[in-house]
Amino acid sequence: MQVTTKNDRSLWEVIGDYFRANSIWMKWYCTGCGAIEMPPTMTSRFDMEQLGMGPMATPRQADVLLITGYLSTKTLRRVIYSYEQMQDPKYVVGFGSCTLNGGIYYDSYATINQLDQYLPVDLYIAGCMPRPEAIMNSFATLIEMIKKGEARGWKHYQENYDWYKANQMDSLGEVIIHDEFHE
Amino acid sequence: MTNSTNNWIECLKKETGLEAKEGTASLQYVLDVDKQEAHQTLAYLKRAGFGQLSLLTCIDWIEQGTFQLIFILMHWELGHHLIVRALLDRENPEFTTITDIYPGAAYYEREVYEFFGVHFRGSAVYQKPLFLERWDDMPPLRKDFDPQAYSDGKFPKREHPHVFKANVVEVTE
Amino acid sequence: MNRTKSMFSPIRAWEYLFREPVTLHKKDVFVNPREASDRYRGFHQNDLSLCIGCGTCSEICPTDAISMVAVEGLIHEEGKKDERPAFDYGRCSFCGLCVDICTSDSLCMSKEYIHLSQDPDSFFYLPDASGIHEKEADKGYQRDEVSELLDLVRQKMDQEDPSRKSSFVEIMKGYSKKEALEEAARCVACGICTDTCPANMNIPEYIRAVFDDDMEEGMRQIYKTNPLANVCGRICTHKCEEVCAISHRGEPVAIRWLKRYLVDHASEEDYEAGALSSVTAFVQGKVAVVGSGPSGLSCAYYLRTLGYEVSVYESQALPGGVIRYGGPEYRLPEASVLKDISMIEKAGVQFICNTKVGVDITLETLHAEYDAVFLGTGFSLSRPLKIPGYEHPDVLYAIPFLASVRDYLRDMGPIPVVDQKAVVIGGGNVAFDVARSLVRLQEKLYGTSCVHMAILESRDQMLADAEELEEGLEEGLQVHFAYGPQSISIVDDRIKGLHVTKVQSIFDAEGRFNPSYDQTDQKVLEGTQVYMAIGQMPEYAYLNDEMRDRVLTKRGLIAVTDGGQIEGYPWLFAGGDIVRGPDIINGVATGHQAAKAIDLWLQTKP
Repeated sequence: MQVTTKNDRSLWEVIGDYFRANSIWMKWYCTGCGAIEMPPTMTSRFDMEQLGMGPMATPRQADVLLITGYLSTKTLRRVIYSYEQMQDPKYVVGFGSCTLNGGIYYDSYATINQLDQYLPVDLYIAGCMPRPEAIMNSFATLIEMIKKGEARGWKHYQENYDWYKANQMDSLGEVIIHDEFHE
Repeated sequence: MTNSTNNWIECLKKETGLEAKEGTASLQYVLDVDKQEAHQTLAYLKRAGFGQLSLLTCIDWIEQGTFQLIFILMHWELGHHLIVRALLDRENPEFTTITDIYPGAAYYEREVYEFFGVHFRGSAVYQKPLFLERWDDMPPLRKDFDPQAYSDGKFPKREHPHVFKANVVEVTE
Repeated sequence: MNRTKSMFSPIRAWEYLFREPVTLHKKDVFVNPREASDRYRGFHQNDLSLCIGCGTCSEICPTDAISMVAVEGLIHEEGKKDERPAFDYGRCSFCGLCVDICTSDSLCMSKEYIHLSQDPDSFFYLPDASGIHEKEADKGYQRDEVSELLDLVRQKMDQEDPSRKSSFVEIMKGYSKKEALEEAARCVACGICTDTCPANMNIPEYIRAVFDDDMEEGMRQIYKTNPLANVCGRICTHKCEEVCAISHRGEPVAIRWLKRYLVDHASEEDYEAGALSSVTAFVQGKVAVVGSGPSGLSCAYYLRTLGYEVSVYESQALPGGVIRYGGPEYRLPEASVLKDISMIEKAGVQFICNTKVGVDITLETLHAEYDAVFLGTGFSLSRPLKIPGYEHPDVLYAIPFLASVRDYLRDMGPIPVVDQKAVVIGGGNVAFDVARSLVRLQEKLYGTSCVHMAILESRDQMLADAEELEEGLEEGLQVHFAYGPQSISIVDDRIKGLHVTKVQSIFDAEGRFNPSYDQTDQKVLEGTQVYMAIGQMPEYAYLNDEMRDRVLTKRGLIAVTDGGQIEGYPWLFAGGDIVRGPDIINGVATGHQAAKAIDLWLQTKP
């Protein structure tokens, strides 16, 4: 579902968004092969700190969740966990073909095809995988979107929570994770 | 061939009557065994110096109606790899667990059970899910499983509502 | 080396202040991102003027990312489909296989690699020569010899050497199984040939059958739309090969020879099983077919598959028309013709030969006795060229001459009277058939040959197939391009030769046929016989005056509706040359259409 929530920020939110946009913490969770483009983006060659962005180890302090490529059903459960632990406002960027329509894993029994069925996606980057320039450009675009209040996926998720949950249930059965490490 | 090489091959032949052939790569050997003999052969091989189980996996020979279990063992002193192969009936795939010989095989057995549906008698844990969570269909690496159909039924795909005009792209709502 | 550390050594880090930083400047990331390498696989570009919509890219795509979509406002062109590839960047893995296999060389990848959007639908787009953002981008990845996936070179076929001119033995020897398999493997199964073929033959399907070595399936696919498999496997005008997707970069797939391979190599049982699979015993009406040429045979066969009793009336002694009395033996051996006709006979078609409609039996009688009548009388007369001397008895015509040659070769007539030197007027395929038959007869009678051809057109404009000229020259034809016949010189009642004059142009300023000559360049082509092969025309002896006025067009053809029905005479249908002009495959196509139209008319008739 495309994010269609209205832009009706209060003054405080506008001010908050302005400052937030200049200091973004990115959750450092490599979900797919696209994560390999992150090291040059984060380190000195492209240096995303130029944009005021830094990596964050835990979801609770992060602002941006990068979905760097394909998501297996197993990963998706953990990604949903992480996303729901993040504080509002929070933003999702989808990397490459896989997040859009399955990419080369479109006929796999284990990977989902369309990320926006399960989580609200604020911005997509084309490529398989996108180059660091494309990623940097997407960060710059995201920052602009946050400043203008256009990145409203998190609100959309709140408002259409039932729709997202139903999709998650259809494809995953349950989001709660039962494995030997969580018992 | 060194003496020590001959050693385990000859001893194997003397003790069990089985003959290991040379494989396609150097220092690689292949041994085909019966399902019934496999367990004791593996136990013998471990005693003979093949201390490491590098891999346990399975191949689905759907046309022959069999599964083939593949054990790759390694001899640390000689650097030899030995591929032990055993055929199972595809309709009723059963094998005795080898966790008593190689305890680390427990994870491989869980994997093979999950992806091929081979039962490992005598193991308490082989049915515990490993990779697939809440799997609800036939084991997915069997050749008669259709991943495309499963994916189509389970994961929504994006439909593109475009109408293309010559030189102009327009989106219909 | 062991450096002594001093307390000031951290200050050495200050040297980086004077070094160029490793980090790219912001403008190199956001304003002018690095240019991609020369073979970078970025977003696709497709030159829509070159793209033929064959769909091979969509077929090979491993991720199902390319779909062929209809494009509104696209003007249909012959040899192209009205679809173009659209790319889903939610699937594409930028592997470049689509570029490697592109048949028309229209597709390549650009150096453009940044596309961001909130709108997931913007990742599905139909590329044209500009990129995804409608701006010029440099070309990136393009196919080279190493990544080429198509086999561009046609399998060579063995043929008789030029000493063949002393006999009528068939020139092309046909493919062996190995050659046919290799040739069939070149096909990309796009189906553009099917759209172009007048009979819409299932070409990719029967080429697939060759590849799978399934002869019965191959025969069934051929007989679905064409009951003259042998004939068309040998002398079809193969319009399909002209539009073959492979022909844009290489030699087209030898579609005609693969059809011939099927009919030549299918076993008796496979052949019959395939050819007669749809013929039914059920009979629901009676139809008369006038003329047993390609259109008549095709109409008769398909009427049998639809459950009609069919009688074919033929004026000659043997059924077949142009395929029995026209095409030369060295291209179309008698055995092939016989195989086609006997299969149609096996389907249950009855032939009534030596019966000329209009002379031995009237059209009205047929109308009274049958539910419907199909006319496929073809172009059975040669067109004369009325130059001085054309009434001389040694001026001969293509159609009767070729018929007498075929009759002679099947031991049903005497050897045609052929002089040592002859001149042929005309530059089409029929003219070459006449000239090359003459060469063979002269070689047989005199051990030497001398045939001049006066062709009005220049070499580039020649109407005949290039292979006719090439083979004819090998056999010793003396071809005079761009010479127009003026008069036949006759001395003592014997023809001495043909006066010809150099042609300057064939058409006048208004595009009408009106040759102008260069009078300073004249010559005489020596010969004691002149053969006219400048065209054929129909004979309508069976039509009465009233019908002639109503159904004939200005060009002497019969006006019909789409299915071949004649307006004003709903029981009368027509096809073949008299509807579309001379061409075998058109005859087959119109015969098939007429059979369907006859069935529809008889079923819906009150």
